[in-house]
Amino acid sequence: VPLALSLCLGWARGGSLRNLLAADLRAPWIPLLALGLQLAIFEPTGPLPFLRGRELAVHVASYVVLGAFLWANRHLPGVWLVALGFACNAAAILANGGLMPASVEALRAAGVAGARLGLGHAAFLRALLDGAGLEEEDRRAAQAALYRKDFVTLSSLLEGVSPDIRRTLLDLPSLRGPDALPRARALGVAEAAVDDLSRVLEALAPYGVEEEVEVDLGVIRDFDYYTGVVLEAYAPGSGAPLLGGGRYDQLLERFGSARPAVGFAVDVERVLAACHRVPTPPRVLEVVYEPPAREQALRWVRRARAAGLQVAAGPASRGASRPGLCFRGDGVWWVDGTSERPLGPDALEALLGGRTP
Amino acid sequence: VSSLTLAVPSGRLLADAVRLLRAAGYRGPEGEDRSLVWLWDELTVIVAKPVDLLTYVERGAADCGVVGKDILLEQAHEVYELVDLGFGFCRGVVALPRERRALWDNPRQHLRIATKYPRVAERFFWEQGRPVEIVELYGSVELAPRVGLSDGILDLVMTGATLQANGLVEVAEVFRSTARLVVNPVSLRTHSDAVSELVRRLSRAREAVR
Repeated sequence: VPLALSLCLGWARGGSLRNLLAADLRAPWIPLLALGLQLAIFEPTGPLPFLRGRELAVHVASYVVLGAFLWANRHLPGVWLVALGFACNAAAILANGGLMPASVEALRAAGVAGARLGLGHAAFLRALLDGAGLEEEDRRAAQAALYRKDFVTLSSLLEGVSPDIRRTLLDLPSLRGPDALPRARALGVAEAAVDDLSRVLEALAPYGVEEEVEVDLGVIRDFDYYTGVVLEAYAPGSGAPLLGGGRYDQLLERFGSARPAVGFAVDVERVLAACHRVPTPPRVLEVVYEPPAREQALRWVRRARAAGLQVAAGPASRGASRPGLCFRGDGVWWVDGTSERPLGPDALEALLGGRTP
Repeated sequence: VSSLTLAVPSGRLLADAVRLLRAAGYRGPEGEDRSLVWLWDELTVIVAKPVDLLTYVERGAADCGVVGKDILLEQAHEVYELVDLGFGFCRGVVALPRERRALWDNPRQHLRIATKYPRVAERFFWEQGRPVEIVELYGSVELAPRVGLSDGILDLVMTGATLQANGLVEVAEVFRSTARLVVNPVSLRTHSDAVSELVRRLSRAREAVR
């Protein structure tokens, strides 16, 4: 999208790609080398065999040579801008362990626990405001209040508006989750927007992100900019959204090339702050035993620790606080809360491999 | 059960805010408490300076806050303004020295206005099409015209007594303000049950107080 945008912009200003040939580009082989290095480690089938285990070093090297390329070409106009973008990109990628946090999955990989993505719809809100049947001036004031999230002013502007629409607009801060879409559909306004959102949810289903993605019609973003689905991601411990964006189908038209577009921005600093604040629970296996099974239990614990598992072991009288093993005279049991079930020798072996029964 | 952090403003709104919370059934130790953090049964209440309060809520240090509409008008912050709590009524007005009030009759008259609300003032004079120079002060705004720092002031009035004591008269009303309940956008989603409960209880208590 940014590439297309810059091409359109350049074209609209009367530029031509041919001018690129006239630029005095030094050491053009460097970006090709960097691309080669990155392809070698990010190959779909995995890194090339001789690079395995050295991916980070190669990745860093590709950035170092790219930096050298920018330095060699610092005389060209605009290179400082490219360099700035390059530095931000490199910082974001390094800080996230080699990943660009670009989706719920990436947020998860970056270690942001409990992140949720809310999907709203700009056209839905606009249709609601239209459906309220306000005078032009009040309509504008209502949209401004909604944009400011000033529901007190909005409420006073909506006196005398059809109760369904009024209630939906005032309930926007809590209009999310599984009931949100059926409620929106029942209103009978903005059916296209509601269909839009259901299609997005359908398309997302195979990705297995239904835990993290929900319809959230209270996501309110710039009305003049966005035309369709809008999104924001939230995580506990971060006071502001981690990312935000949406569909803006009328933007590129202003640059002479009408085409649909979707985009979002990630606030990398907030993502990092959210990562630091979320404690990763230690994966400790708890093992308790009753006296007759003590030796058997401790023998198994020794093997488990040798296999790299973290194990806390103690007599059963202490009681287990988390899921774990209980060695008793009548066998070995897997205890999880109040439920327990017996474990055979095979399951015990599987546990050593790091698999929970 | 997740408990909410609610920021209340120190100063003139504090007593009414606490009264409303108690009327809404929130319980905490009675009596004077000089600490700025109060651990109540269902709430952690923090006492913040009114001008700083929205910063606490916007950044998530507090989930919710009680704040005057005057502050909301002056500062642009990403928070949800959900309930008009009804108390703390006051008005923002432009006032001039009594002997120079005629200056207001000429809309082309350039005025120097001292205020704690520079953005509200800028917006108001711009909308009125009146030329203005804004002198930003942090308090005792009524002093400015008396010592020639400004021609007039834009400030809050409750009874008008302060204006009168300083020889000023109101020439225009700019806004009306009451206390509002604001909520952090992330808390609204991650603590939605507790927030809805707070909204419901405060709205009901406000009706009862009326």
